[in-house]
Amino acid sequence: MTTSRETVAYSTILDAPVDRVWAIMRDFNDWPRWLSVLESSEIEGGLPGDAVGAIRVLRANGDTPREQLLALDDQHHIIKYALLEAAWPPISDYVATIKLFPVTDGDRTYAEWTATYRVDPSAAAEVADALVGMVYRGGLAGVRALLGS
Amino acid sequence: MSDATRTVLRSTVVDAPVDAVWAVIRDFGDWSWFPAVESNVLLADGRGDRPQSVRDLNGGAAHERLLGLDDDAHVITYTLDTAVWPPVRNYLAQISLHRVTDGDCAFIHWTATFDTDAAEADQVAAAVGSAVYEAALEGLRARLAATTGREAS
Repeated sequence: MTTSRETVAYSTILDAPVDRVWAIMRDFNDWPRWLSVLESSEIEGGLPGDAVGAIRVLRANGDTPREQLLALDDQHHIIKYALLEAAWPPISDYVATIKLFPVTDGDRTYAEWTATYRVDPSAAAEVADALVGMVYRGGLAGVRALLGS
Repeated sequence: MSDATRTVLRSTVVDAPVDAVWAVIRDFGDWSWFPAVESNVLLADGRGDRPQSVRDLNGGAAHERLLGLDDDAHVITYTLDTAVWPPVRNYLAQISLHRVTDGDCAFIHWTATFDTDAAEADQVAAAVGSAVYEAALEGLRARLAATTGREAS
């Protein structure tokens, strides 16, 4: 089956300093706190949640996707991770990156979430909508709620 | 007298699509949106879209050289060859635009690094940030409000 390479992006402004946003998001094992589609997260092998290379097993909608932390940059506020296996969505070679930038005008944060992956063209639109809507928009809305802004 | 290195960052969000912002700022030969720029003349056979082109600002007040222009990533990089003010050396500035998909507006990130006398480094950095970047971003916001028809945010 021929797959197509897709890139999706979602970005928004959070009304809090970048350090506060980063403190909420940087622990790879703590995402269920702000990403409501996740029921739980557990790191394999007892590694800490900020160890680059760590693999987490998530629980979401009866599925148990495994994801690996590829990069964590406290200086530039970047998280990069890969989806290793999941029953859904039907994608491969998924790598996602979250970047935070300070908005000095108002001491706010620009948050950008992008991903690339391969998908069957017949499912491409549905997968992109689900990723952007449930994961990226939903996740950053959860962060916004935790910030109280 | 010893030098100190400083990095200055000013960033903001404007209520205009990235492409509209880029269309305004990408011409290095026309920064008339920047209120402090009274004249902006490219030297020799310079072009506003051609790296290594040099512009003269305000009749010799500064010569700035375009180093890079990226129409795909929306990044412009330039340096200062000579200037009456600010008293800086090894000046490297970069503007990058990022799309804010939530609302289809633009995040503008303007950063510079330079060396300056250690004794006044913090004052120079603060002055460059406010007199140059903040003032320029307000000018850009006003220009965009006039050209896109959206309200200034």
